[in-house]
Amino acid sequence: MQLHPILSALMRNKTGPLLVAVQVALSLAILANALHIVQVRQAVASRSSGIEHETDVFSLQIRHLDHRDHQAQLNEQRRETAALRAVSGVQSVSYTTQMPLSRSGNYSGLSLDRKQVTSSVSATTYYSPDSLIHTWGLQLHEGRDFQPGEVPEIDTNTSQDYPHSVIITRQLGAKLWPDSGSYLGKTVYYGTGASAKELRVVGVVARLQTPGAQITEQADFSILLPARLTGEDLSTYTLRTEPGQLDRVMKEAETALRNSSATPVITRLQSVSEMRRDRYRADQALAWMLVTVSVLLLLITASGIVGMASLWVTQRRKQIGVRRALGARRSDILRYFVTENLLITSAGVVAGVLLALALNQLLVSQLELPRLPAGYLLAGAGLLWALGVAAVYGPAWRAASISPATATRST
Amino acid sequence: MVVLSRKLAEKLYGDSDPVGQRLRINGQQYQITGVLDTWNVVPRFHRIIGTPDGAFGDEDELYLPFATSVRHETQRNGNSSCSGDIAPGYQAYLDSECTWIQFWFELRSARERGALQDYLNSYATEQRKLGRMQRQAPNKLYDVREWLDYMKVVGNDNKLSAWLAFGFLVLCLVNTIGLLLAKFSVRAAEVGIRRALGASRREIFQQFLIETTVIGLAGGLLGLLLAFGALALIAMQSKALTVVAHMDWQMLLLTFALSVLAAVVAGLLPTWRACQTTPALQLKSQ
Repeated sequence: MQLHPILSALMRNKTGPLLVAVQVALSLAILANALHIVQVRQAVASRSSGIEHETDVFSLQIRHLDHRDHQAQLNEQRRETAALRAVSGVQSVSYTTQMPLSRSGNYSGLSLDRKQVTSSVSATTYYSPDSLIHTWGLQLHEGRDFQPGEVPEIDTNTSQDYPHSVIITRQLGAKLWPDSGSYLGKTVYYGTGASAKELRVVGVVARLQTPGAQITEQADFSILLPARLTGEDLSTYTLRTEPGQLDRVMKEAETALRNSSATPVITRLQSVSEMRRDRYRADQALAWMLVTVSVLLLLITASGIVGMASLWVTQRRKQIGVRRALGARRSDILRYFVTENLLITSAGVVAGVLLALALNQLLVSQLELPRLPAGYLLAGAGLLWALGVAAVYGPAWRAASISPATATRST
Repeated sequence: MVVLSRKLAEKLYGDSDPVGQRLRINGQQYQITGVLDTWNVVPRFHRIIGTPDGAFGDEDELYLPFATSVRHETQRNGNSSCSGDIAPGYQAYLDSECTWIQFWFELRSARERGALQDYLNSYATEQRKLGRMQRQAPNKLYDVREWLDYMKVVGNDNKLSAWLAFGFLVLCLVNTIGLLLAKFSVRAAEVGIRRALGASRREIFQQFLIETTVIGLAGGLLGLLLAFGALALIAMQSKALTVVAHMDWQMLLLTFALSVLAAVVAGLLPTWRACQTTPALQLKSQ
C-alpha cells in the first residue's frame, strides 16, 4: 500500500484532518494526566491505617454534661468500659483519646535531647489505659505491649505526672534514629527543653496512621502512651466486634452506654469505614469526576472521528466507485480509510504526548502534583490509536460496501 | 449571657420569645439576651479552623461573650499551638504562650488598616521588651478574602477541576467545529441554489449563524438540566457539599451565555466556508 496518494489527498484538504488530530491531541493530554491523578489518589486512599480488619472497628464518643471530679471520672471510665465489654458480639474495648483517620487529634513535638531548641519530629499521641494493640489488631514489629503496672492515672487539670513507656511506629523510629536497626530501649523526649518528658521505647508497631492520615510520611508518625486520663468532658472508646456484627453492636453499645449513666449524655458513633470514607471523600469525588470526564472525552473524540470519516466517505463516493470499477478490492478501500485515519491519529498522538508533558509541567508547578510516568503516555497513545481504528471502521466499511455500478452511474 | 441563632431559637422555643429565658449549657446557666437573624455566610470564614468541614460546616448556633466563656472554663474546640510545655489546669493554659484565639476587627474603612497594623506592631514591640514573642514573627493582618486565600479554602483540587472543565470545553469546541463543517459542507448544493436565486453572501451567513445559535441554545438548555442534575447528585455526597452545591442566577446566566457563545464561535469557520460556495460550480455539478 502506498502512502503517497493518501498523504497528498490529506494535504489538499487540511481543515478536517487537522481538527481530528487536534481532538486526539487534546484527549490524550487530558486523559494521560487525569488517569495519572486518579491512580495517585487511589494509592493514597488505599493505604493501611494499621488497624486490622477495619470494617469490624468503631468508635463511641460520650460527652457528660456536668463536671465530675477525678475519682468520679475514673470510676465512670471503668464502669463504661465494663458496660461495653458486656455487650454481646464485642471482642475488645479500649479507651482512647483519638482515632486514626478521624481528622481530629493532637500532635506534639518529640526530641532526642533536652538541649534541643526545636523538636525533631511532630507525632500524634494515642493515650489509652487498655490495649489498643489488641483492640485494633496492630502488628507488633518488635518489643511488647504495655504492662498493667505501667499505666498511671493522671488528672490533667492538676497533675504534671506522665507515663514513662512509649510504643512508636516503625516509620517514626526510622525518622528519629535512621541508622539503628532496633529502636527498643531508646529514649525520646515528649516536648522540648528542661520540662520535656522522658519516654523509653518498649515496643514498635509496624504501622499506625495519624488522625489526619496526611499524604506525606507524617501519616505514620504515631506514638502510644499508657495512661488513664481525666479532666475532659469527652471520653472516646473504640470497640472491635465479632466479624460482620458491627451494625448491631454499634446500636447495642450505644444503648448500654446510655443506660450506664444516671445523667443525660451526648453520644456519637462512627465506624472506621465511615472515617476512611470521610477522610478520602474529596479524593474519591475527584477520581470519579476525572474518570467520568475521561470517558466523555473518548466518546466525543470517537464521535468526531466518525463524523469526519463519514463526511469523507460521502464526499468521495464517486471516486470510490471509480477505484472499485478499476479493480480495487473492498479490502483496498477499507485499508485506505483505516490508514488515512491512522496517519491523522498518529499526528494527533505525537502532538498529544508533547501537550500532555506540557500540561503535566503546568500541574507540577502550579498545583504541586507529581510527574507523569511515561507508561501513562504509552497507554494513552495505544488507547487513542485503538479508538481511532474502531471509530473509523464503521464509515470505512460503508465506503467499502459502495457498489461500483451505482456510484459511477449517477453522473 | 448568650445570643442564639434564629434556627436554634426556633428549634428550642418554637414561636415563643426566647429573650430573657434561661438556658443550661454544659452545666452552666445562661440568660438569653438576643436572637441573631439568619446569618448564613459561606464560606464560614470566621471558623475555617477547628471543625472537620471547616469553611463549609453547619451554621453557627449560639454566641457567648469571650469573658463569660473563659470564666466558665469552657472547653475549646479547634487548633491550639504551643511551643513549650504548659502547666496543668485552665489558668495555666490562659497564662501560657499557646496560640488559640482568632481576632476579627471591624474597621470603619479600609484606610484604617494601616493604623491597626501600627497598633499591633507597637504592641508586639512592647511585649518583646517584656520578654514575650521572641520568635520575631511578623504581625500580619488578613481581610476576609486574603484569609480565605491564606487558608487555601479553594484548594488545588478545585483549581484542577476548573482547568479540566475548560480543557474539556476546548475539546468540545474543536469537535463542534468538525461536525458543523461536515454538516454544512453536504449542504453546498442548497447554498448554490439559494445564491443562484439571488441570496447574498450576507444572507447565507445569517442563515447558518442562526442555525448554530439554535444549536447552542438547545445545547445550553440541555446542559443546564444536566448541571442541575449533577449538582443534586453532588449535594447528596455530604453535608459540607450541600452548603456549596447550588446554582445562583449569575452562574446560571454565565454558563448559559458561555454555551451559546461557544456554539457561535465554533460555527464561525463552517459558516464562512459555506458562504464561499460558488453558485455556478454547485449548479453545474447537479
